[in-house]
Amino acid sequence: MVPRPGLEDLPPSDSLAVAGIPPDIAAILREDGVERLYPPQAAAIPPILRGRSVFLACPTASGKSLVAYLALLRAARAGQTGLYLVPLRALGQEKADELSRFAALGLRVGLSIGDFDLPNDKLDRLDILVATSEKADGLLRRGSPWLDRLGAVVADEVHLIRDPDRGPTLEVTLTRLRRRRPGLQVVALSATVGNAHELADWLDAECIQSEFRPVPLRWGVYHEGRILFTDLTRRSLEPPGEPLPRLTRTVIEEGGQALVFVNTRKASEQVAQALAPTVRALLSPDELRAAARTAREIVATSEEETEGARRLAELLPMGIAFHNASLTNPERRTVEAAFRERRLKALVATPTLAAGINLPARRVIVRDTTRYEDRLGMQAPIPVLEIQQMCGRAGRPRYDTVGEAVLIARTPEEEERYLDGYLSARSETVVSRLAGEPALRMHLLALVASGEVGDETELEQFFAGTFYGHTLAYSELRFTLERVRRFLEEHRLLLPGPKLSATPFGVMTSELYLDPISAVLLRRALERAPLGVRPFALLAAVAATPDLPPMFLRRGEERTFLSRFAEEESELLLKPEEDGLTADLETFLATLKTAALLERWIEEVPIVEITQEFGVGAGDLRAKVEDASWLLFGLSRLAVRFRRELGRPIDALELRVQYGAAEDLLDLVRLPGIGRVRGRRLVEAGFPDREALREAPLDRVARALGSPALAKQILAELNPGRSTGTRRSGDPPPESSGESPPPPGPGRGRRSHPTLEEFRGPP
Amino acid sequence: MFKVRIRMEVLREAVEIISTLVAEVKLTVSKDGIDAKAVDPSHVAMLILKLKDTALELFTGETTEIGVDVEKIKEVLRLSRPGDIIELQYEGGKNRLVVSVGKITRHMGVVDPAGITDPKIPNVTPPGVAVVKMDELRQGIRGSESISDHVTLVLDATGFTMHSEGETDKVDLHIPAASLSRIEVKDAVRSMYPLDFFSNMVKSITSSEEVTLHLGNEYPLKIEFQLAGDRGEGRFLLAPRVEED
Repeated sequence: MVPRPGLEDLPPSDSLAVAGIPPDIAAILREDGVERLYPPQAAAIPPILRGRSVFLACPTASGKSLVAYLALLRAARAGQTGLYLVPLRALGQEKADELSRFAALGLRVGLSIGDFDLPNDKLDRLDILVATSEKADGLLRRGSPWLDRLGAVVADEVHLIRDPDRGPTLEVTLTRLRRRRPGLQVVALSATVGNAHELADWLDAECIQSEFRPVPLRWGVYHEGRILFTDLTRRSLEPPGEPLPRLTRTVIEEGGQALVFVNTRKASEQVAQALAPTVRALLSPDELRAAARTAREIVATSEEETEGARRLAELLPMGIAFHNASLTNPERRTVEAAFRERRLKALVATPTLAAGINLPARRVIVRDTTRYEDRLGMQAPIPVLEIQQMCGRAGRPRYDTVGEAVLIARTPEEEERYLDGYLSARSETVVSRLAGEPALRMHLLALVASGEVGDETELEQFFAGTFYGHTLAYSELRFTLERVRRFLEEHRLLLPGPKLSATPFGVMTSELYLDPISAVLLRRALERAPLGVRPFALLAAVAATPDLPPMFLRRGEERTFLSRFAEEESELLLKPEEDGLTADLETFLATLKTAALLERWIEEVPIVEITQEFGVGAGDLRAKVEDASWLLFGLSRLAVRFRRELGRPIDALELRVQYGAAEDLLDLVRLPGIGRVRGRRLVEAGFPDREALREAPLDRVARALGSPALAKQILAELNPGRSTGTRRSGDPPPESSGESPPPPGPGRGRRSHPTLEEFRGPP
Repeated sequence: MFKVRIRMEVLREAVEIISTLVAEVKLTVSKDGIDAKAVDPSHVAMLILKLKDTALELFTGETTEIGVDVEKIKEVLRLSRPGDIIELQYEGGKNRLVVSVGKITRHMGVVDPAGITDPKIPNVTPPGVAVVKMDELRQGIRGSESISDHVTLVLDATGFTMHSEGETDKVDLHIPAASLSRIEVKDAVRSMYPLDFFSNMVKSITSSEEVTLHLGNEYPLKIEFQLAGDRGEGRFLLAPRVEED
């Protein structure tokens, strides 16, 4: 009998060459340390390189991005363009940085995530664009010619289609892109989901599923001093004590890091505080020094103090931090980088972290499995998919041979429930959220305004192409669509009649990316506004739109804002309960709180005071500021059409909100590195504007700013050609209304400048 | 409350040195002289400076801590001529420093010393020591200025080297061990420092002929110097740049 060749006689299918990766791309991958492919990669790459669509469902950190990049590179080489859709802004930068590694092949990579869009001529030159689905939707609405060359689109975290807020936009964007470019290669990356085949069918994609993880993951439940793992092994933890310090200490002692998930921001800070002495006691002198450096970086992220930075600065020297939405983006990035570089041993986070950036740790500890749900007004279980995503962060490639995800059970019943309920549960099914009225209102208008659908039949055809249409009957949508259409006609966004066509106001609304209700309200506010309208009235108007979610009213605040309402009522441009478009009185008061917060911000009240007064974090303030300045931009555009004479004051207000500054600072804050704090110092030192600063002596400017280097830089900016000497590295961070831009990307041999205090004792 | 008389040259030297790091400084004035400690806003450099009692022409009153705006003192110095005696008079109650030189009397507001960072001087003991001539150091700095923002100081058995490297060019100042009036080194030591700090520090030291450099590996630099002849002394500390991987 002739022996059949064994599998081991075939060339390894995980080599880069066998998978068909072009040699120059393979060379770059090898430089980055990619020698062999993981099994899901080896399965997905050959069809990708043939131009096939692929739906790839596997755990985080199993190398999905690489597969996606190859599709984009393939398209770019074929003279087409590639689009990478990211679910979060924070991820956009990460992907763009990674893709820039391929710039050596002559590819141009761009990023579109912020408030402003890339101009067409810049976009035209790009081969690959990284964007949020909202940004891509915006390109579709404006009919960008760049999309005519689109050859591949990547949808990262495509399971987020099930997210009620942002899912519909992702779904509609994918549908529209595929309609616009028949034969478009789609690469959909997903967490493990229950109905992968259904999603793959919808996208005409090959379905590849895998449970592969580069670092094996063990799941367990902690109860009474021991972890019971799902593989039925047990582990006792010494010495005795509270669960969290025990679980944290043991993993750090073994050389790993701990990532703890809790369900509220407050808990994340309290738990970090409580664990700090435990963690600190485990640090070596070198590690203490590194941790101290992080503390300084946090303070340097902004030249204006924040509560979050202050608290972090106390914790970071002890090797631990918290991570939640009350932090500003630069603060969060600093914490993430420190954890990634292992300068932090433990991090206590809210679940938002799990959905976002890739930040693995050897041991993930899930303390809470319920959280407060606004919609329900009560504690509710955290969805299984989210718990799994948290647990999936366990195990760092290169550092850990195995990751441990541990849920803490308080009772034997809980222990059993966790083992059955979360750790061995089937994955969740992804369903479309397109049928929601707000989503349909927005997307119906956009489809009509951009000319994609012109009548009922085309509308039906469009929805047949969505994931909704793929899984459910169109007839179920018809009723809601009819109501939405009536609404849009009634408010003069669509023209009445059998044909579907948009008014100029409708087209504007769609291109400004406003919720139609917001646009109607803003237009109303403009029509009612008197000349010389006060900033507060305009802020209250944008705060009353659905595009600016209301804030919570704390105990007692209802009274505060009720009296503010009574005081301002005659000047308010929008009132509560306006034919169903604005909120009832109670929620309306909450929108006044937002307006009051923004008012304090533009009066240059320090961030620390604002966040205390309103009971929010600097990150929340930042989010409101961004939303409000975007809405004010929309308001200013609408003013051009409906109340031209109000354009100027609205533009000024938009800038004030952007910078958090009074009107007299608006000239100075245009300077790079000058925000509201430094700007005000310049005014107080006798330099009210750029003109006055141009001729200023360096030392006086330096004194006002507390930084000779920044002073030099600014004078050089104002006087091109005048010599000002060399720029000093280690300059203060540029200031832009409280936040500095992201730190430069990683590079080998980065230099840092420690302070003198870090050197104690002999070398 | 105090009254001090001091030679213009002595005050000018001290003020030049202080102003390399800070715009406001806390001075301790007593019968033993004037003491200053300062740390720059980024905590990368520090200064400890002492003018001895012999540097003062007169002192009456009690030991006092005051905060002064360095720039204002400089303005007064610009009005004075070499050989002038400057009188500083502080009336605690009025929070005012009265500075007289020749026929000019300037009243200046003082700064609350509580608002000025009090540097915690780290215990820095670099292992290598070299005594270097000031004009050689200055020459080395001039050579580096067009090359890089940084300067690497190396001390080994062969001597002291100041090395600066840009993208394309580099420059070395090497002083052989035999030409140093003092050298103490076991293992070679090397650290990189920001040139602008180093240069401003060295340039501010005007009356010393030599300075003592204390060096380590990726370790703070200590520069010891004298001022006003032997009537004052000071030392700078400067944190190194550290290469991370």
